[in-house]
Amino acid sequence: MELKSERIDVADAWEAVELYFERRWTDGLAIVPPTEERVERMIRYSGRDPREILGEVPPYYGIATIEKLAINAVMAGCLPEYFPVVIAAMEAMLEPRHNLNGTQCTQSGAEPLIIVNGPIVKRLGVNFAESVFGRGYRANGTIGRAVRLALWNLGRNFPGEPDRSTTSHPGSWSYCIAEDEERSPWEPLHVEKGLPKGSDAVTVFCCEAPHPVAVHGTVKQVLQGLCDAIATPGAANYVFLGDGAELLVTISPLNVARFREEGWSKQDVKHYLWDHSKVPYHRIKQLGILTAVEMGGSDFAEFRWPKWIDKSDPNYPVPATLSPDDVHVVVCGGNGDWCTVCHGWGYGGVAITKEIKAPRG
Amino acid sequence: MKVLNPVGESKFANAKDETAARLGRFDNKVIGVIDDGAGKAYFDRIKQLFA
Repeated sequence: MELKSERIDVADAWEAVELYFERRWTDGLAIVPPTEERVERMIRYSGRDPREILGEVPPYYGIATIEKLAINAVMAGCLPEYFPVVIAAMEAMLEPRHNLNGTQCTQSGAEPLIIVNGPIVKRLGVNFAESVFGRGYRANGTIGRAVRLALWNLGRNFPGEPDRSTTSHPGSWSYCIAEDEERSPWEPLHVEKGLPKGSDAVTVFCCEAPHPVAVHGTVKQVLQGLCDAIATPGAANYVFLGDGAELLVTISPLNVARFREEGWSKQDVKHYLWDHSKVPYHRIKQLGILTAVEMGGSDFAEFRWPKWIDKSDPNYPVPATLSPDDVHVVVCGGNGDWCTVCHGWGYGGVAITKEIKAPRG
Repeated sequence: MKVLNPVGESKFANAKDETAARLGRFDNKVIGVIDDGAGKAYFDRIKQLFA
């Protein structure tokens, strides 16, 4: 296998780690030194050609070859078996509709979340239960980190210039979960997005940090608690409402059992969440953000919002997304009452689902 | 031991210059990147306001 990347001689692993910090080839955490042998092993498992180009990662437009992706996957500590997931996640983010240039540079605090579906979840041990958004599992930690390192080294979106994220959130280190398909009463996310049952897939959705919501009781009690958490006037989805505003809600297996008992479909849930989380127009307007000079001085409500929103009515109920179809519902988490709300960016980073291609050969 | 460079080659010959050209600068401060979703229009608007 012929690899094209520059080779650097180092005395040992420690020197390699220091070198990568010095050259800003890592985003603040130590890495696994990507030796030729380790990178070749990663590529060999996938069966892909190291010269294959997936696309160009903005804002630097670094060319994402399988080789470069493999180097970053080794650095993250991925096993070769994880690499097809990393590849699929990169393919999803490079879809023009996802607007990666926007998500890499935006002032907002949204970061790409990777959601894994299919039999591969159990095969690789991707966590979908307790601490689903947190630490503890190599698959979650390293798959998420491989994607972040690839975005860092191929996109070069360093904080401040050109990444203007005011605060970001801890998901910018690693942000990867799986869906609890067994305990969900509904079809899994990737099947909902059009992939066949039994296939393996990733969905990448750029969103804020999960906002935990303690809810319990009937379905309506659970949903109303989630709606109240969604209805934050300053959330990017409301401010930038338009094509690109999407929302993720996760429901714990404990709470979702009630949905099965009461016969709620996923569509029923999406419609309810969309309909009952609307915010009166005046509450968004009074924040001042719609016409903030640093946001362009134009009124987002004028040039971005759909025309059917009646701005002459200060109490007009503004939804978080254009339609219930843009509300994504995933079952995951531990056996507790906590569900989460993850607002999207509003301007893109929309959920894109890609099949994870099995290793070739 | 030998380790590999993880940085991708940019498709632009002078990648730094190309990125710099697309940065929305205002008062010598970078305020965003053109094409970050809001589009060129909003940077033009900022320049108009402060002209």
